[in-house]
Amino acid sequence: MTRSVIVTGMGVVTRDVIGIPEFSQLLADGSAAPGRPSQFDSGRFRAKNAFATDPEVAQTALRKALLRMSKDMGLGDMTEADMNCAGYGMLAALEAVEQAGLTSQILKSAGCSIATTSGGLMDGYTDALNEGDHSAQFQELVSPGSAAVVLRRILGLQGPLCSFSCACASSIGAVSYAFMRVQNGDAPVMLVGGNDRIREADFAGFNALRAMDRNSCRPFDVDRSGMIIGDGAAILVIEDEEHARARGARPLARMASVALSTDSHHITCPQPGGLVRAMEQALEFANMKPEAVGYVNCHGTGTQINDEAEAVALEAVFGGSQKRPIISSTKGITGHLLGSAGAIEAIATILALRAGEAPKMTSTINPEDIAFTLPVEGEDRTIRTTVAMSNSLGFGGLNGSLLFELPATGEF
Amino acid sequence: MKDSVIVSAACADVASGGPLPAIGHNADAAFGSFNVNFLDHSEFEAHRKAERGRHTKVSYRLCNMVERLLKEAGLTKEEISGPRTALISGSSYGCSQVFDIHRRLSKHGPRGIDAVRFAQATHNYPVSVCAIEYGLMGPCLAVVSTETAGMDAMLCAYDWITENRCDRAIVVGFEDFSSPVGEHVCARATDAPPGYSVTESMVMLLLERQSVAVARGAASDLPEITGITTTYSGADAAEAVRVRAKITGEADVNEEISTLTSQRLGQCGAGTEDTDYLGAGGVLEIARLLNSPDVGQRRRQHWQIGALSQSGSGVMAGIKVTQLEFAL
Repeated sequence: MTRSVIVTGMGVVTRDVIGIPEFSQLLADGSAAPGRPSQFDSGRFRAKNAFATDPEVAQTALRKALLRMSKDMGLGDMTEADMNCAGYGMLAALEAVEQAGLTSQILKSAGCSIATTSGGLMDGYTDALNEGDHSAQFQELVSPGSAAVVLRRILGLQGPLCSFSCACASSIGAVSYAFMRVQNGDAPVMLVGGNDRIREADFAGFNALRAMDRNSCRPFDVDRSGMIIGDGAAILVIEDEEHARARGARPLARMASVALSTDSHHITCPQPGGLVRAMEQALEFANMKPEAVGYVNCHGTGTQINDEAEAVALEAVFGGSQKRPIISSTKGITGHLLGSAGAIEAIATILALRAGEAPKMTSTINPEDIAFTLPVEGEDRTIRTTVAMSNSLGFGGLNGSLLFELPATGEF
Repeated sequence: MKDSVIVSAACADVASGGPLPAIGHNADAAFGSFNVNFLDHSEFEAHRKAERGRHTKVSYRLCNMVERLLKEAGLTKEEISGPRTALISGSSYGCSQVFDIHRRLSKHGPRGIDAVRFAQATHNYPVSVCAIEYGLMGPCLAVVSTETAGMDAMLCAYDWITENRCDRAIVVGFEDFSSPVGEHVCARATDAPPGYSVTESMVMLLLERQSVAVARGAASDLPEITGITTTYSGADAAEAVRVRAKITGEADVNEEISTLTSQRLGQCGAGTEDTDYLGAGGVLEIARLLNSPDVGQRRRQHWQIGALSQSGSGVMAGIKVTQLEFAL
């Protein structure tokens, strides 16, 4: 039996905000300019700025949340290493769990599926090795799937556990796994999302690729010149509709479908055909036509090649529609959260659907001449339907497409 | 009639046992009497020196193993190219390049990081390079979960075929013990019992929709995956019933099921072997079962194979072997 999958909780941690209400406001207002990360000296790189979360701010908020929720939820203790490894993810998870109204009993039956770029504390371990330190304190939480293991232990989850690391498409991989577990009845509830801390090696790598803008990320702007790295976490609670209905939970959106594809073309250069297949398959599995989609949250990194390929793919899928969707990218506001990007953008998509308005692209000043409405200053941002899509692309030509639908009024 | 998912080919490279090699700073007595077994990478080293190619150790082995897998399955590169073939890897540690790039940056500074090295420093690099080389356009992901990683990957592949997202899926389980992962594996095993081994390996299964396999002339009685699901250690009786129902498909409720479960981490085998294959364990167990004459000799046709992680999560698969002689 195939089950309907709905979203009942969401949580977010970014440089600028902790929490969904603040994130909604951020999407409406735009963010402050990116700045130098505190985690390493970015001065030695060509592009120096990021949307890097302050670990101390997040950790303070996490301690407060744990203090508030531990007793009622029967949460396990979090060590310093747990916080370093999965602190952002745990903070986002606690918010999502609270919003969904999950009890400790429900959490026992829940699983988690977490995306990451590199994951774990292997960098710290490597540094220690270089200094000749083989002590035990660096031996745990090193493997890339460690954040999911921490969430499982602290929250007392006994359901399916999985981690994905597929570059910037990691979150879509994690979502596809969680979606299938709920749809196939392996778990009634899944916590799914991404957890990423900014990493100097990734900062160096994207600089080496000349894929980073020095000042701001301007997706679909004529003058765009690259991405800005961000970090943080985004977690969604997804649930079997019957299970949610039985416990009186409030549905935030229906997850209508997930689709994946590969370009089979180039490691770093996307080709539109792969994304076209992902979007078409997402529509097919949701039994929807392109006209049903009112908003597309694009991968929109702000690099020349990404945005160009995406625009071509969107034209191929939605070009024949009477009413084309509004398209936007939220990376100008949050930065590119890499492995967690798909998760935070899924949340931005749901929030946009619920608000009936696409997030404003405040950093895009000179929009490219494409046949889609970009929600820049002065444009009508109204979403005309109850369906929205969120796309992710990753190194290696990986593509993923998610479809969300607003539950009908009075459905629950 | 329900269209089944079959295993039409299986390959594995497993490091042979031997003394602890000299890696890192503490290569000998400090680690006690356990072994860390490394695969022979000399072919890759020769290739790297000759061509300065784009491959990493893992991507090189993976691409070569796909060729072996196709040969075993009676398929050509042309037949598997396109959107109906998927590829997924599962590994507990993933690719060592992801971690090594951090060390490289520390040692050489920004000039030590170039675009090619950075692209290689992603856990999905091996599957992505392989997808490009073989023209695979279906779903392509890299799982980096715990000791169940390979089985998690198989679960995804099974989902994709049964959901009609593809007709074939190549499932890869591997562990790469290049530095710094090798040092960490050694460090973790310091408390291991005497004779214990941790082994580098790569294993590959080809899952196919049965109707598609039969249409291309494959045997109609290849091993069938009757179901696959997740579970957890210490599951109660109700969970055990759910798992059985899920993995046995339409089997008679009284049918005997033989169990081959990785009892500890990625340990593989029927209890005689004290070797840990980490994330590759469960998938390797399947490959061994299907290539083993024991399958027929034991006259046990329906098998439950699983992997359990240290954190308590598990994946169980049911496999029905209809041939009396060894399956593949």
